[in-house]
Amino acid sequence: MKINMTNWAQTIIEAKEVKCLPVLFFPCLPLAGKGVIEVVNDGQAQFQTMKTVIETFPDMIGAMTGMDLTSEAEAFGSVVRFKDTEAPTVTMELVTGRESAENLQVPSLDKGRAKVFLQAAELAAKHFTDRPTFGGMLGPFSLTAVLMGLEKTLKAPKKDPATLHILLNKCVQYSIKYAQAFKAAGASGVLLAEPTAGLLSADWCDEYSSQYVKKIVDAVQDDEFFIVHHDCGRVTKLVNSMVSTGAKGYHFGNAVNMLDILPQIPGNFLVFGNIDPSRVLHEGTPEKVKQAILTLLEQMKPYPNFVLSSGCDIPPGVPIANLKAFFDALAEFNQK
Amino acid sequence: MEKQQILAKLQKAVEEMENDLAEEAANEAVAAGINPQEAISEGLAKGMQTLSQLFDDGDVFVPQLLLAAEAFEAAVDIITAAMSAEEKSQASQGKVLIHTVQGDIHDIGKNIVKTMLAASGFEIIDLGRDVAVEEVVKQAIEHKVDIIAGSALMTTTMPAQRDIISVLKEEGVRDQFKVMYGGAPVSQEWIEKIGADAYGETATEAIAKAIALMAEKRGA
Repeated sequence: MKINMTNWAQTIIEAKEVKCLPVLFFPCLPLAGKGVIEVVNDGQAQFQTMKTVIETFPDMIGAMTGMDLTSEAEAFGSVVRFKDTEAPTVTMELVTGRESAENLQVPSLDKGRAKVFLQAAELAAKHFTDRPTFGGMLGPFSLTAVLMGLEKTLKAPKKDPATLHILLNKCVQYSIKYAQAFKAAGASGVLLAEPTAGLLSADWCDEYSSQYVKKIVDAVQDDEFFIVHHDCGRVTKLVNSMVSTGAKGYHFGNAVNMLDILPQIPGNFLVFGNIDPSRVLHEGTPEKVKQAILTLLEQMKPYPNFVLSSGCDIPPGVPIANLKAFFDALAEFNQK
Repeated sequence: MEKQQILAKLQKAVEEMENDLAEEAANEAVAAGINPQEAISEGLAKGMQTLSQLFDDGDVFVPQLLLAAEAFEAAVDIITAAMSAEEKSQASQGKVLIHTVQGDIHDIGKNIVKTMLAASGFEIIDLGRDVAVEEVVKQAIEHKVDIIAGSALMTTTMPAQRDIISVLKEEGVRDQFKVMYGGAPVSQEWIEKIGADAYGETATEAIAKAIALMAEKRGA
């Protein structure tokens, strides 16, 4: 069922209660009786976990596929290491220089595990008719960094910008196809994770990330498809660059103070953030989680376009009690 | 060229992230017979300090630090080429073994800290990324380092930091080393929990902590 996402966002902004959408998938694997390896390789198993997430935490305002930031790179040919206790990681760089960048083929969606995530999104979109389903995908600069190596990619704007643009163009071609496929599968949007761009200066962020993210936004975003642009870096000075992409949602990590972020974003865009997934959700106690959330919610009172979320993907192993505290704290705040 | 001009050129090469300029200035420093330690501390390190301050202020970003580090290291290689291992050790503020813990392949933060430690006069042994716990301990003993510094960027790899402390204790060598950790999910609470000695939230803080640990170690 298609959901009008412009109306969906407006409803959230106008609601008296604060809504929440943590990037929550992996910690619920034990509740679903699944392991990481199974769900990132099997669309049906991934969908079952998405169901478990929503059944356990029905206040989630959307269903989200697992955030696996390696599937696009794997489709290009990168080798991925799988473990049942952590999200998959790419083991080594695929692109070593100009020649290999030029020779790199933009893969079809049949290659690699894109179909796993698309199937999960399709099943979820059919099942959850009361809330949108979001796919997860990697932003173009972050994907380039996975393909060429982080350090080399970060130095490339000075040392070899031409090779960087070659790769970015190939990544964005693939990303547009992938986002279009999520849309065709019935998803109502994607969370586009572009964390590596958070390491750049504003002018480099414009040139090597935002203009490419904008191509994806322009290709797929409309009233029925909503892009959430995620960057969990120290991006206080990059917000204008991020907003230049035209995405309708922006998601921030705990490296920033949300009070520095919200004033920079027009009130008709949703802004998500930013409970620390590691020090608070993973390492903290339920009481610490509750305090962090109540503090943030108090700060965000002047901003009706704020949506409570985790600062990044919540890693496997986060205690369920801490997640319950997350939702309980929000409910307590909303009842005041 | 005057000594002060060469030192200024070394500093400028790092600040402007120019490898070629750094190598040129380093060769000039060698030809002019400038003391290697002085060339580093009064030239190259000043450039790194400028950038590190601008980074802390949010006016310089990680790519610029990495590019500056590359220029710094290129020049250091030339300047110290003629020094013996003993000379390098004598001039050192302390010997640091640095690594990214087992299971973790994210090494940007580690590389930045490494360069800034070198810029502050520390002798560095870099084991790279995804280094086994036992290997860290073995290399620390073998190289007789003062400080073991490690980073973890994932919650799933943090336990390896605790394991290093455990193995040091099992080997009966815990007191020989100061142990400091950093990385996005690491916190002061974690450091206290696992019995490490210091936590560096930022690269600059890591350097300050390393200097303090050395003062503590030498004062002990």
